[in-house]
Amino acid sequence: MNTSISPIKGATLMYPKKVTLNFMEDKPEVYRLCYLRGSVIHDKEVIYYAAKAAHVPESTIKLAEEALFDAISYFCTNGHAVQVPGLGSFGIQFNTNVAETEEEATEECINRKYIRFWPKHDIRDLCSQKNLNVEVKDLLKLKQANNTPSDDDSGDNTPDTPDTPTP
Amino acid sequence: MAVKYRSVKAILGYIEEKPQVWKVQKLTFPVIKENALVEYIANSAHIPKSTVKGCVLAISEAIAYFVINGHCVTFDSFGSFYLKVQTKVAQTLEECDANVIENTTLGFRANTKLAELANKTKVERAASLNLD
Repeated sequence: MNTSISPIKGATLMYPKKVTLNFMEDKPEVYRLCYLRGSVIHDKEVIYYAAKAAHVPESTIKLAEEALFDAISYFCTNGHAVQVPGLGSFGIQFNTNVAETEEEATEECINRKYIRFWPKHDIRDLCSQKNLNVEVKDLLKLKQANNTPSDDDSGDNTPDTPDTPTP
Repeated sequence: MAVKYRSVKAILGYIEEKPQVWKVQKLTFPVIKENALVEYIANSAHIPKSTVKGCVLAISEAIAYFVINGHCVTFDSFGSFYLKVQTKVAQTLEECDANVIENTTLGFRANTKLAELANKTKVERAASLNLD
């Protein structure tokens, strides 16, 4: 676990992608800005950061986190909506088809049930564009930058390993 | 406990004939408010209520902080939080910059286990209301 997790100030990386609008008759080609997801932060890192911020032991945060998510799962799957302090609301939603008569409008019309999330106003304001450091980059250049060998490379991916099958 | 639903009439206004159809609508039970949730967690985890509230707020703040800084936050037993971005399309590559962003918000995606649990939720028709 990376415990040197001092606030990671990062940019929201986005890249332009060419798409074809097939639903239009002339199928025009346009550019859409896509979001490049940064590194994935797992439970342990969130617990570490939250423990530092709240001045409580990590074990307490972990207990609270497990109990929180169990509670949300339990209440949502029993039809309740749940309001989480500082985050937003969770609730179960249906994806349904329509029926021609009332008798046909039964649970067979339900295609899918899923948990939906509505962020709180504060979080929405926080995630709004004015608070983001958006950088638009070319995806090819980003990939090339990621593949550039650094001094820390241990050479595990060299082709002459014993397990490599000979042609 | 099963989730209750009822059938409601709807008119499909986007179709020329405007046909009348029936839809299945979910009925929500009372919302579990923040204080009730904190009390439930305090009782189940045997942690004082004040500590629970502080922990939950700290976790929420951590999630928001990491997402704003370009990361995706994943909880193995629950799901992932990420930045949801809504954009316009641009005709040329030069026009495709930060100005095409219309809206950004915090998104959530349940993991496989939670999604399966939600999909297996029992449903039953609610007793019809007599509005006469």
